[in-house]
Amino acid sequence: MGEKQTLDEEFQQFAAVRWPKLLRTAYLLTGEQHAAEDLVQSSLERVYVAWRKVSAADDRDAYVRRVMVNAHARKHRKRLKEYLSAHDDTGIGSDLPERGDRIAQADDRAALLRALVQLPPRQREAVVLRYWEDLSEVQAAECMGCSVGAVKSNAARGIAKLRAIPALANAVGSRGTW
Amino acid sequence: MEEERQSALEMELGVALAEAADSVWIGPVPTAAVMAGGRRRRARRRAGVAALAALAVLLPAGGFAVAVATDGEGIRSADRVAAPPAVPGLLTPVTVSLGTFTYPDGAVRKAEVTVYGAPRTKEESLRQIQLAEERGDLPGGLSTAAKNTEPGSEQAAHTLHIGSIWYVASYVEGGERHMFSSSSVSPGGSSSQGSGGGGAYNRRGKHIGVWVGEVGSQYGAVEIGWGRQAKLRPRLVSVPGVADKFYAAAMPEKAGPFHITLYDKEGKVVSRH
Repeated sequence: MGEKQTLDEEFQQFAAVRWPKLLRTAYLLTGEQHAAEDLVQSSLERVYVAWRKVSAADDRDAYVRRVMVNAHARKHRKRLKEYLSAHDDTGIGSDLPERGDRIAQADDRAALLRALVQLPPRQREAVVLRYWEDLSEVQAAECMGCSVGAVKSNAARGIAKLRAIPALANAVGSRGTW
Repeated sequence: MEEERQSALEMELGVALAEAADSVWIGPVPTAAVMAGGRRRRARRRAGVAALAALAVLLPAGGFAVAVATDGEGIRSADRVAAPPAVPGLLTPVTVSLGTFTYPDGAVRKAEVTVYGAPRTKEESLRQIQLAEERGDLPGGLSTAAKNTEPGSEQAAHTLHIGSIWYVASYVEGGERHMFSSSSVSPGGSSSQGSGGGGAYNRRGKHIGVWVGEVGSQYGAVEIGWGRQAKLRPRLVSVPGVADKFYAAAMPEKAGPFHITLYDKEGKVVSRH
């Protein structure tokens, strides 16, 4: 088996295993299924081009995450249209859904996605990397190509805006700490 | 107190993000499309600005015509040079265009094969069949028949394809894809004459006339002829990881029986059937 074929098979395996997690992250960044798929696909294309180098890296996941976050940021820099299917001009939900109810949980998710996609891109990236990818501030900074301080401030500002989601505020409040 | 609130909020946010992320639909991984896209990116990078402008025009059409031939029956075929396909995998089939044909009535049909990697077990085969049905590559319900097929049985050769690369032949007309046959090839290639395939002759009373076949790698050319009518030498198309080569031909209406002549790489006739 040639080296190229081996590299291709390695990449195929890598892409197949990582696809679900990458797609979920992309979904939180873009707020829409097709935009998320496009983002992951274009990111993996870039990774495939450099796969010889990437496959030898210590942390392939970090490389792919960085490519994806950069692609997301670049898209916004170019001011391309982002499709926000969850967008709702009526504003963030005003009713407080009953916890545990499936419809109410779906409302929670929709409200969170709406609020998330309305954050400025850097704040959104900081929140997703810190609280979904569970990266440290240092790792998030490396991924976003910025300082640790910038990650801190972007995440804090993002969280402050997300506090406006009633479901999130209510859940924290019900624990007696809000 | 504020720190506790912040910590609780962050925790709740993590849970809420996980719930939101779980609501995304996870479909099949488009590995072949990703790799093809990656190769295009690499080619564009190498080609430079001038080639980039040309590629931007050409690639969306899937390639560019390099040869146009008429077979004497008014059918025009255009061979296309497209981005090289990826290696077919177990759950990452590769679709390759074999040629586009224009028929006397103005219909344009593109012949394709979708190639699946060789399954090793019945379980792998059933996963493939399920994927193929979801993609519209196989008739629905085949998975039920395959589940009841024992590996090694005569029927298994036609349903499970264990140990064999297999393909689905189809044509695309007006944006719609019509599957018309499926067959398998040995991973090592055909040791015999190795020419098989299937044709879409008619559909709902309308002449279709698309023939798809494959030959072993030892052959240099294939010639298809109908009686005394003109002969065709279709382009042989390679798929990475598959020893055999594929070809397609447009068949004239009421062509009658046809014969296939295989040539070796020196151009000598090896067989005719």
